[in-house]
Amino acid sequence: MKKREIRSLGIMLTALLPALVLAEAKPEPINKAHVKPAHGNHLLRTFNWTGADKKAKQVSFSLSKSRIKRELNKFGVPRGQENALLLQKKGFKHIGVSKGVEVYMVNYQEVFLRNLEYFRSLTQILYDAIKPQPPERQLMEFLVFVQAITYKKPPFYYNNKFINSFFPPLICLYEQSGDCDSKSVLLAVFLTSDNNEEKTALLFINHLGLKHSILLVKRMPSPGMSAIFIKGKGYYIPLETSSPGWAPGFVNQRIWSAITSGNFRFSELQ
Amino acid sequence: MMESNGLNLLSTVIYLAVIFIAAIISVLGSIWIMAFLTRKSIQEKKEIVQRQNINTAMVLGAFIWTVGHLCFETIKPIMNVWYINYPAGIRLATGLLFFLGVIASLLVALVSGALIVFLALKLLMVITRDIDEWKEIKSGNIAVAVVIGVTVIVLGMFIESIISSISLALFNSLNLI
Repeated sequence: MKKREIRSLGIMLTALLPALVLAEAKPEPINKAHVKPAHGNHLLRTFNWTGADKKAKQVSFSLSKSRIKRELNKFGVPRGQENALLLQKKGFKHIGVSKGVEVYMVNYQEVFLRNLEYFRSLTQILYDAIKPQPPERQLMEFLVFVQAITYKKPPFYYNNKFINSFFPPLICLYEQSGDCDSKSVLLAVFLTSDNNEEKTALLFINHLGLKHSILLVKRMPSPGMSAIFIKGKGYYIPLETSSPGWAPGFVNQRIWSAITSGNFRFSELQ
Repeated sequence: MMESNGLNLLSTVIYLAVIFIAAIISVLGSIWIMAFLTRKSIQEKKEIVQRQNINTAMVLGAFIWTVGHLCFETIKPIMNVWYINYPAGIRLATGLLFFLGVIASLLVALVSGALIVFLALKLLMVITRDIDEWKEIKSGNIAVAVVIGVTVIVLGMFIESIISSISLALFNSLNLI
């Protein structure tokens, strides 16, 4: 590299650096959301995490016991009664036949739509916990919150009911853990319950031994981000909810390779 | 804290700067490394500029494409670090570290990628001991140039993910996240 080239590179970097000096992060007390204390009919679930702005955050959700009971009643089939009719009645849908065996999967859309109304107040509590933020940063902050929830695969049977290793959003908060699809639906509910315009979808990957699901939100990708174009719907950016450290529009290289090779199933939530 | 439009503008500027640095480092670096590693066998500049040897240009072009692609794959995940960090506000020291990290990662990708490709080519030349590939390329044998060029590109495809993982690991060791 010639001296002149090195010099122009140096000048370019010097010109760019002042643009990077934005705001100094100052230590601030934990941003806590104001919640009503839990009483007999409610259960309190507290989450502590570091927000996207690198500040400690805390939120407490007061979950209605009757609502949890109702959710468990509506989703999952009692052990030994896993027949077609009951499966379809209790939150599963028939997707086909494989090697002579009927295949069912969780009806994510049904679970998602059922939880929207109840999550409106919970979303407001979460929004209060991450304040003060510009509204545009809500997606990033909500994603960081869901990423911080413990990753733990739910059991096949929960409370003696077949749930196919999926926690509905409310149970995910109640158990304070979930896996890729449970956390993805939880984030989708948080993003949509307060904003009906939000378009979300689930992406199921089954490729070369990799089984995973990620959330997609309808957004134009920012520079450097990955995105999927769905014909007739537009651009969707991927959100990795399983582990922290992934910004919207970025996923593991292995997952992205599986997506670009077309080995995925697109399932619209709203 | 920035609004969405401001963020998009700044992200575009940062991405352009990172792409620009990557392009310069990968193109100039690959030409320089190729000329250095093959200094005893072939004089690329003389072959391309004076003798207008298409074969040499083809092999060098394949080498530039491979190294450029390696560098591009390296910087893509680095933008994730930028999007993760901007909400906390970027300080001068962090910004400097970010750009130094980008340059260091690119240099690692460039040097390791070029060396692996060159060593694999050397191995190919050892296996085909009865053919002097550089001599054939110099004398105008297009078929040999095509084989060498394609070998370089295929090797690049194989090592792409490994090199970008190594570079990203180095970048992440700066603890910017």
